[in-house]
Amino acid sequence: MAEMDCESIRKNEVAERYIQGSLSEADRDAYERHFFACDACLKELQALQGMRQVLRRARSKSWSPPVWAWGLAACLLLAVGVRLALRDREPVASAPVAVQMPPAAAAAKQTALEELARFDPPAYAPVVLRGTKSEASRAFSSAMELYQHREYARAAAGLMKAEKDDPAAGFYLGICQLVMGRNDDGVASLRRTIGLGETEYRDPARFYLAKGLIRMGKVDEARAELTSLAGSSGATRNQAKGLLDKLAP
Amino acid sequence: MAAIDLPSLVHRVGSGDPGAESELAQHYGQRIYALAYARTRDAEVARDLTQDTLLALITALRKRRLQEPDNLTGFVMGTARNLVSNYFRQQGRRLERQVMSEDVPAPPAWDGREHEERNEMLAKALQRLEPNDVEVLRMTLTEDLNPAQIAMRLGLSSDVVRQRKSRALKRVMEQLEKMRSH
Repeated sequence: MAEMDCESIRKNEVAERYIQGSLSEADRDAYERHFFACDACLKELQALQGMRQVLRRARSKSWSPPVWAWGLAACLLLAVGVRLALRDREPVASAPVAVQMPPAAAAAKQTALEELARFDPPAYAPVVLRGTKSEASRAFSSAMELYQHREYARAAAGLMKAEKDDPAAGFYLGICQLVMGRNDDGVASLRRTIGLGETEYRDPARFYLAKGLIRMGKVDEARAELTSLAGSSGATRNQAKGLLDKLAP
Repeated sequence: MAAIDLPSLVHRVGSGDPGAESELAQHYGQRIYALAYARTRDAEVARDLTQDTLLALITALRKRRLQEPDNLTGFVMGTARNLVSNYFRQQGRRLERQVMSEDVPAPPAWDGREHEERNEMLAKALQRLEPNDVEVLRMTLTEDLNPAQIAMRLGLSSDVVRQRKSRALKRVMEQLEKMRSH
């Protein structure tokens, strides 16, 4: 069996594949022989294994919805009887942040802003209705299936084919674009959703718009959006207040 | 980690030096845990298997049963792999602890406390990364996706995913070093 060296291990992403269990038996044994003797590679492997544990824990914690989401969900439940006749999907709840870990004192302003801009894509639960669906509605459903499987690029492509004035499509399209790092597009989609007027997606869209603006470094604009949202009676006002407090100059 | 004189440690354990046992447990404990965790994907089981492997190792050294002292690492890896295989064979039942029945004093405990400390530092280091880089790490480490699959999900090229992953790992390692030196 060939011996491994540090360079080929990094180049061929051997440590990640070892953790994933996708190495051949021979490569797995060779890698184990290597890290038993190599402190640098052992440290990297330990870091990757530790991050796996941390990220898994964060993932399981992040499914508790924030307070505003319960309010939003309650409103939606009240409205669902009326809306079922008209619509076939509802937003559910948002998870708070992608990585919930022990609070660390922010070492630099930039680090703090990156932390404030972080979020986990809000969950989506489809409402299944009988009856025929329009082509745009089918496009939305297919795209949201991809969204639920975290296939954001394909979900975004599908959502572009949904109805242009559908606030749900615009909202989730904006979220997908932000997750993909296309902050300009994400912010534009969320602004379009807000521009559609009084819909259940307007306040969540304003909240995530503020996150997108922070990512783009437009902190003053984000602050203005959050100030307005915090002063409203919308379900996201407490969430906005919390973020606004942390954004204080 | 400082270089360790394994032949001398083997000799000292055979002579009944408890300090040597602790050094040996510290040196191999981390390596055995990494192997056991990768193979079982269960932190608790990995901790038990690490303890059992160390028990077997130190018992063999105390009784001077090691046939080839120069191949100590091979012996440790072989024992760890056998215990992992036993675990899978007996899944759902208690691990068999053959060496426990022997009349020898307990070897030093290896509780893996440093893993919890490292994980706390890693959590802080992850907070300082770009959100998009964390997403790539998350997909790699918790969803077991390869760069091509992540690229498809995020609408990026595989090369960009690799760059993000490599940049993120480098930054995390730098942060860890910095935190350890404080």
